[in-house]
Amino acid sequence: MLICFALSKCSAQTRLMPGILKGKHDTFVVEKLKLADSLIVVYSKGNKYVNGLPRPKVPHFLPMGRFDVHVDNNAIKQLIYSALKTKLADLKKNKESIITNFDFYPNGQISDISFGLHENTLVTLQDIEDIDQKLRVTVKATFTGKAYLQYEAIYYSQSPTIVF
Amino acid sequence: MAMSYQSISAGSFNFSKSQSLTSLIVVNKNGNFYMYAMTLLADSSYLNGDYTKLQRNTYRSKDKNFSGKVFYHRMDGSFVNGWSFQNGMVNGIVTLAAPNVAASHAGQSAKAPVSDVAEVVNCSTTTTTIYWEQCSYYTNDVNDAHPISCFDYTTSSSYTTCSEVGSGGGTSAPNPCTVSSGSGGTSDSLVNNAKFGARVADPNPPGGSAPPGGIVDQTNQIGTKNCTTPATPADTTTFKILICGGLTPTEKANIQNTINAFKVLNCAAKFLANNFKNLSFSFCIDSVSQNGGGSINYNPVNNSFIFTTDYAATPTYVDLIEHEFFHLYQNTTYPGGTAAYAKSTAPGASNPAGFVNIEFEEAIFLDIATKSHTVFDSGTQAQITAYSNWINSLTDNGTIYPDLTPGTQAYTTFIAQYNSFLSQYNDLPNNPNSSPIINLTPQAFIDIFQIVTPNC
Repeated sequence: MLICFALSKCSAQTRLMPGILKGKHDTFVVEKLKLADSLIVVYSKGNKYVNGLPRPKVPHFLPMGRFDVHVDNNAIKQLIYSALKTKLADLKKNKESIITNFDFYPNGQISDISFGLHENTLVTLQDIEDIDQKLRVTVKATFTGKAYLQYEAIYYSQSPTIVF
Repeated sequence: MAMSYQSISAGSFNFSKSQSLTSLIVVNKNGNFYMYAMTLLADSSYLNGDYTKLQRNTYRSKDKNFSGKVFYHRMDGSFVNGWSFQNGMVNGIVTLAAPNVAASHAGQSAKAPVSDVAEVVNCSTTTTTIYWEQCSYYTNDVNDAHPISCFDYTTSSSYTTCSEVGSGGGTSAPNPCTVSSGSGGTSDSLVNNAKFGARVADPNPPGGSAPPGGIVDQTNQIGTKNCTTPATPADTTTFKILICGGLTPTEKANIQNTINAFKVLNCAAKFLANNFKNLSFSFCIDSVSQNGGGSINYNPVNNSFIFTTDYAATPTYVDLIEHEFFHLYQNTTYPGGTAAYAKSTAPGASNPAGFVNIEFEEAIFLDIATKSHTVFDSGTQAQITAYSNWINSLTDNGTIYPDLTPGTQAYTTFIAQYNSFLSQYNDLPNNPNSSPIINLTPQAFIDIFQIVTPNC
């Protein structure tokens, strides 16, 4: 944990290390991934489908059609860039990226979000908590067709990867 | 409900200054009643700030100066047909845009028709946002004057408008029958509170047999008096298509549109369509259940594709065709074909050894071709992230196709990672594709991406 002594407007920034980390409002899980070089995944402990989404009520041969799920990826990217605006240059220098993954309820609200980052990322727990909170409030999915009603929650297969 | 070309948050939308007006149209056809929502989306030039002008337009007649579009939807939100108007006259047809068609303006030529419109046309695609306000009322609030609570949300759809150019230099009303009713469109939320009066429509209004800007519903045969089965354009550049008999004109048009969408879906799809150009395939719909999703089954004995629902046979599910065509490619790649790994049709039979190898290879291929990450959609957060990272690294974040040369370190690493993900995929709970894994190099995957590039 980094503690600032000199700066008056300094707040403690928690590095993302494997384990359970308590943020200001939420608790996050950080896992080191096997078969993914130097990668960690971070997600809220409140995520409902950590161990996998249930299969649809009526078996479908393929996942729900991707053209029936509508999410504004640009809004997601802009939100994350904005949240990390003070670190963009350093993240770029570090050649970092953030893999996002979303699950949505049939009413369009987010059920789960997870973030894939480099294990030595400059992104902190506070950044993740801020981003997670804002995404849950801002980002909604809409659906066309009827297949989405067969799912308890829908995995969004085109979640963006933010490359710095 | 209101439609708009704007895209702002639902809560900010001003319904009183919407450029649209939605009416409930009830059609009485031989004692059977059919309900539709007719939405007028007027041009700003017509309204000129006077939103009351919308009320001058009805199902049967339009203001002589009306310019804009008219959309017809069923009560489940699915799109039926639409028209474009200029100075009170129909000058174009509105259809649902095919997937991945960006907002644009394009011309088609008679020599290279994309759909069954053979005339010279100008087409443009626009995205409209539908603003919904869903309110709850007490049962004794008969005029719906005091909502208890309201919830605002939006849905959006893309529509293609094609205007026919006549040989005499002016425009003529296009043939309303060259319209595919399509499916999808808005979400299936019902219009909870129809604030506008219902109008009873005559499916054969006076003034002519072709409804000027009216409903053309080929499913219920309303407004289709003079329609004939749309002609399927001959296409000699890719495989020959045979559509089975016994289907409605809408079903046939949907299949044709879906195949057309597949051929241009992405570079891998274009390659597959061309690769089998000397073959004929038949397509049919055998509706076992109409649960809104569906699938496609391929029979290699007679080269036939069977969609299991009407909805599966629409461009929304174009990925199904790319999925099956890659299976075809696998069949031509592996010595002896892939029949030995085919799923048994016997009830309760388990998948044969190698089935998961074939399905996993196809799934990885489709994810890369369509820039999606679907394979571990029911996996853990860790699996989903690790898989996404792997696909990103293979494709440089979606910008290249993996070019894997045997004997290189990259190839060796790929095979190790591929087999690890294959094993994890096979172990996903309740995975319908699980089977004993065999030692099979994913040669079809490796081969196709050594030939195809994302730039075609």
